[in-house]
Amino acid sequence: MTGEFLAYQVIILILCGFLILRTIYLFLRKKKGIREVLLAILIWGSFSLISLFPIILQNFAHILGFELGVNALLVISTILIFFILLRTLLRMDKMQNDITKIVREIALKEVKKEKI
Amino acid sequence: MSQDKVFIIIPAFNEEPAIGGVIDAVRAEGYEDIIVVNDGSLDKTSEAARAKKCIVLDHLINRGKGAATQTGMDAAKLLNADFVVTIDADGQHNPKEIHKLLNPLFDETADVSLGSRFLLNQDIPKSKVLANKIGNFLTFLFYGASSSDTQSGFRGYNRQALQKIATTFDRYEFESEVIYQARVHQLRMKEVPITVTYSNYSKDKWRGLEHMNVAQNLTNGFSMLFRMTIKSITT
Repeated sequence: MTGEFLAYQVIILILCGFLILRTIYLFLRKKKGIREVLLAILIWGSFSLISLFPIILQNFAHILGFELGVNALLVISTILIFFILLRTLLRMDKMQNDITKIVREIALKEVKKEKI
Repeated sequence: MSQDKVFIIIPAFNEEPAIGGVIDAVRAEGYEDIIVVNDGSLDKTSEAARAKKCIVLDHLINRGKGAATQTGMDAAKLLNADFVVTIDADGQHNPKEIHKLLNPLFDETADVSLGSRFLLNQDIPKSKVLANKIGNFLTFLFYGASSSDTQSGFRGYNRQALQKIATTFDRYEFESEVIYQARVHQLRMKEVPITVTYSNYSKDKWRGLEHMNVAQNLTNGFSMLFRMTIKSITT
């Protein structure tokens, strides 16, 4: 940091600050739990820190063996997105199965009654 | 054999014009225990089936042919069925051939009989051939199982198969899953040649839309591939 903020840093800081404050506001209104507040601070706080001190990303990339910070960011983001997508799909699949079970149970009610 | 309880399961979605005729034709062959699973139809399929005095089970919402067939199988189990035959509701299968599927089960040479449209030389729309090829390929790819017609809905099961097979796929993938589960449970399978009639009714549903049908089958194929991949990860 040279003491001057670049435009993208200001935008990221404002955005992350807004998202953290919004989560705290929702927490105070009892619409979110403490876990979500901590998670929001962790995620958006990390983004703020990286935008303020890009060297962090560079050092992190070196540790992982990447030459450029942006490469590390791209690879990690892609892996994360795939992980989140897969988790969402698995949950959806389970929900679909659960819906079918409920629909089947209702359809079989009469037959089960007759059996009893 | 005459003491055995044979149930005919007909999964149906929006088949109001055809379902009555299919039930009549099945009954004409001497099968009285008929279960129609109305899979959340938007028309009067359920009423049309009830008018024919058979067992009608209603899915409140559409869950797919696989889910509807499994519901019918569960009902047959509860009703102590000895043998079950599944048949499509659009009239493409000939109820006179039900006995062809039952014979290997009766003489105990098979636990599952698979009706195959491709063992006889007959006129089958290209889109159906394509759908079957995709299905055969995916069945082999995921389950290492092969059959000349992995997507046929005309099949027979004995009590042992009925107890062991419990499909988890809601849509058309379940046809492949049946073959897979039969293999896993070491059930004996036998292919039986069947005729299919793509009647004016079923043709009318797709008239002028053959190219769309092909496109839809390709889309369904990709969707099948996707769901089978997800399922293979979860199970």
